[in-house]
Amino acid sequence: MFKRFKRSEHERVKELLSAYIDGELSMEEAALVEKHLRECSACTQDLETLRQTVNLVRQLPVISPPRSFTISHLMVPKRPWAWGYVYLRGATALAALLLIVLLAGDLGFQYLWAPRMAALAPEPMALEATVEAPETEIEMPVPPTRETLDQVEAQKVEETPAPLAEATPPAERLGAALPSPEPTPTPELVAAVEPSLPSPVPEGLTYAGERAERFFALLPTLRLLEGALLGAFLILGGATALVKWRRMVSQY
Amino acid sequence: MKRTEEATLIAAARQGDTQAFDQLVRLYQSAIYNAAYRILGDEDAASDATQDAFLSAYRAIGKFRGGSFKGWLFRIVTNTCYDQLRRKKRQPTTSLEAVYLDSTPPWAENEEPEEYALRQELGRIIQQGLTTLPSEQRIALVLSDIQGLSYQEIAEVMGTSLGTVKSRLSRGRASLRDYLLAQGELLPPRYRLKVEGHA
Repeated sequence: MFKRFKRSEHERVKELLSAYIDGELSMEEAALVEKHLRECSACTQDLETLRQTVNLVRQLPVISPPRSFTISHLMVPKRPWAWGYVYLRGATALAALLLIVLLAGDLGFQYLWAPRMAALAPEPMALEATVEAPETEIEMPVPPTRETLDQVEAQKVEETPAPLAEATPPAERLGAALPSPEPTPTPELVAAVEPSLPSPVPEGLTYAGERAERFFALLPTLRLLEGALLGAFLILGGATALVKWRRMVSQY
Repeated sequence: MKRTEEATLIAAARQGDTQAFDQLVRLYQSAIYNAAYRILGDEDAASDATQDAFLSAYRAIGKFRGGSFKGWLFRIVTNTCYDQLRRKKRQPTTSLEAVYLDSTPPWAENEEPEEYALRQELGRIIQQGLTTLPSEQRIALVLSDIQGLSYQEIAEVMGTSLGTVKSRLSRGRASLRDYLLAQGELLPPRYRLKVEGHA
């Protein structure tokens, strides 16, 4: 029992010797070590060799670093234009994108939309003319459907002058079939209808024509905008390239 | 350097002033390099670890919350050394003997050639002894006996308790002592450990 106690104390003191050398033990621990050292020659010897070891390590001279470890030459200096570069790049990309969209729209209108509109123009114009006819002839009691039929018939009559004399009877026949208050259209009515017949190039602007016209009216402004965007793109692109070049130069 | 001067330099370095940080580097590079050298046992590896540690310190200086700046640097360099030791363990390329034969530590100047040779031999053997220790014990021993840090400072640097520091240091010193005793005749006579009952 006593031996076991002494052994555990011996082991404990052996572990405390290192801190004892450094004066890092509590009063109680230091007292325990000192008491044990008076009784244990092995621990006294351990303490001595441990002290010599620590002294030897402490004698190691300070080694001069082989070089300087300063960092300024390794670091890319903080550039005040770092964020400016990001914004410039973004603005250049935006200008380029807008320019592309605008040019694509412009070219698309000129070479795709405008010719298509020109090709399609007569048909919608004719339809619009037939629809507009009742508006111009408000006094006419004939509904638009009837009007259309009349116009078609009238057109046929115009195209084929030979049966000109028959032009009136079908009109009369159709007029009679319709539930209008005046079953037989008067020659004045026919005469009123005739001026509203569609012409291949309408004098007034149709809806599609208006759109095209409006677009063409906008063309100078569009070109101005394109020019401004091109200028902005060139200036921004140049500034971006310059800043990038400065960044690269400052890096080396 | 006064503490206020150090604080001024740290504040400037926080604002990105590399020149101010360089002054701090010049102040502590010797201590940091020596610690790295004793932990890693190789000049090139120590140089790399020291440079990495200072770069890391510069990048993380915003996280420095006051206290001992030197202690903070020691913490960074010991972590860097841990990483290097782990990598070295994974890829053992050079034998320990080759490392020590190749590396000639630059000793202090103004020293007699004979004294220089003896101390070089002592340093080589102690360094070999240090390398035999587990990395935690080695770091504790280097910080305590070479860098002169207190137990409390070592605990902060290593991020551990005082009790663990005591234990690591005790075991490390005992192992180094046993290693030096085992070297016996290899040590220069004046540096041999004197054991009672032996010459």
